[in-house]
Amino acid sequence: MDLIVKQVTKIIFPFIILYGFYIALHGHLTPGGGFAAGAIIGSAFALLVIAFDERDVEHKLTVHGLIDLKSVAGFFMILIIGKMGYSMRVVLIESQTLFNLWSGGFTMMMNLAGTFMVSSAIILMIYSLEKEAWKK
Amino acid sequence: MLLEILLLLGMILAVIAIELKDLVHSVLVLAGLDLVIAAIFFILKAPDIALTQAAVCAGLITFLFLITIHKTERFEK
Repeated sequence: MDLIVKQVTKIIFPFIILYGFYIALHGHLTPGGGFAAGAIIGSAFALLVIAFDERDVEHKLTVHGLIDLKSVAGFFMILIIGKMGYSMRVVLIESQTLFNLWSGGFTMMMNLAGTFMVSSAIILMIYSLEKEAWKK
Repeated sequence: MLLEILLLLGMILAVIAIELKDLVHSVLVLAGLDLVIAAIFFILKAPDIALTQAAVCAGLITFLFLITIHKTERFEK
């Protein structure tokens, strides 16, 4: 791509990531949730892949690292929220206030785990397609 | 009134996306159609669906179509 697209991508990329995590953290108060936040973060990486060529950018995340990240997200979802959250539920719910950001029980953690799952799956799909498409 | 204008705009964009011969321009018009559909969902008081529609259809589907056009031919015969 040309210079304007590259500079705008450099400026706007962290704000898209920030907006995705805002949607994930406010998933129990405002519209949105885990899937929408993961799709927004994944489309930010799609913009990065479209704007820059493969020889311009050195990817810090490889495909094997993304598969590891996806399995770690599943571990995070199942074990920590399921087991430890069940034993800590009284302490957690009593410390929360109604209509605040820290409310809604385990919904925020479930949204964060879903965000990690969806965004890592979409980034894995994008990087695999990119390696396949520009391999000539 | 705004809903009818958006529906008409979506119909016009769909016909343009079908009739264009350059497939990259057609995909960009299709992304505009998805944004119009997201606005219609927002007017019909489903902002959750509107957010998912705007993120998935205008972001990821466009990327998948661009990858597919890059692997095949750009112009329709």
